[in-house]
Amino acid sequence: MRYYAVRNMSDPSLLVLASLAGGDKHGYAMMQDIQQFAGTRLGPGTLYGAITRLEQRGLIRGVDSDDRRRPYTLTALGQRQLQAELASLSQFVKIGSRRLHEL
Amino acid sequence: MKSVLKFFARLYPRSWRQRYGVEFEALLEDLRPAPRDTFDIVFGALKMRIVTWAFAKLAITMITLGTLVTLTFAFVFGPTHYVSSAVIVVSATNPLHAFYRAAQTTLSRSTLTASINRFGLYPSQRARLPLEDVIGIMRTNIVTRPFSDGRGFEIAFDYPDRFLAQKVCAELAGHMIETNLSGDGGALMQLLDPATLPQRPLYPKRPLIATEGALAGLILALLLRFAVTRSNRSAHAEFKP
Repeated sequence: MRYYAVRNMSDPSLLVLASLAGGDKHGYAMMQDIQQFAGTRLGPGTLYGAITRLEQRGLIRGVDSDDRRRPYTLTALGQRQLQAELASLSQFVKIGSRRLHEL
Repeated sequence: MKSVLKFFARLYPRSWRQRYGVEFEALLEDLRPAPRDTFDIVFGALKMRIVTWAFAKLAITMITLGTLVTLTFAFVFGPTHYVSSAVIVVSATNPLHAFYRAAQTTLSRSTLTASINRFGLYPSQRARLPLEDVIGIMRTNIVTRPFSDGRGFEIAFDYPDRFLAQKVCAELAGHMIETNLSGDGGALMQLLDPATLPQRPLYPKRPLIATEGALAGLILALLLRFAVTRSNRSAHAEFKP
């Protein structure tokens, strides 16, 4: 099994990927969704910093829209990235819990 | 509040605004703004500039900022030092003895207290420190240097006001000569060079401070570029598709 470095769960990029895993969303919808499921309010600058980085890496993609509020969607690469991140977190939780029980 | 956020959104690079500007503005219209959003936008815009700018542009900007900031701080908050000096020649069988005797009397508590009161020196220090401490400060601002051949010496006074520096230096030099005349040393002291009126401060030195600021700006530019590159590399670096 491949191990990945566990990143902070409040990492904006990870939160955006997790939010888009639930369906395409525009910026404000992402903010609301992230606040709901992670309890973290991303500021507009932080959110769009993450969106810019993720789009440049091809992990998300802007969907053509007539609305000013452009929705974003996860790409196949983004899905694999999110899976890898979650697997890493899952491994972390598993090991941490086991050690905690052994105390 | 929203108009403030929109104003700061202009700090983003033009190329970024062309791609994301419309939707970012729509987001700002939708959200319920919090005070920290302003900082978030300003910080995000600066970070985006660091990412998108060529290193040369970033370096020039940081060097300019570093130079301006250090110069401003040095001139606004830093003390200014003007140094006035006078030269006195001594004709005596033991000129060093005459010099030390005159210097001792001139730097005495009573002489310096009289100068402090007459010229109103060190007003801020006098407001918060006892007189003895102010006299101590004044002593550190007076330099007397005998020449190597012992035939004369220089007396200098360092003060933030160049006119007062000159006046006090002239008085101290005059006092040394008078002291010697009234004594029984038999030395003859004459004023060779009267107290100078300093044209430029000894500190702050503009070229040196500007160079330090520029260097600090360059180092900051290197650190910023390194930090942003590393941050971008570490985010998602684990995953290799």
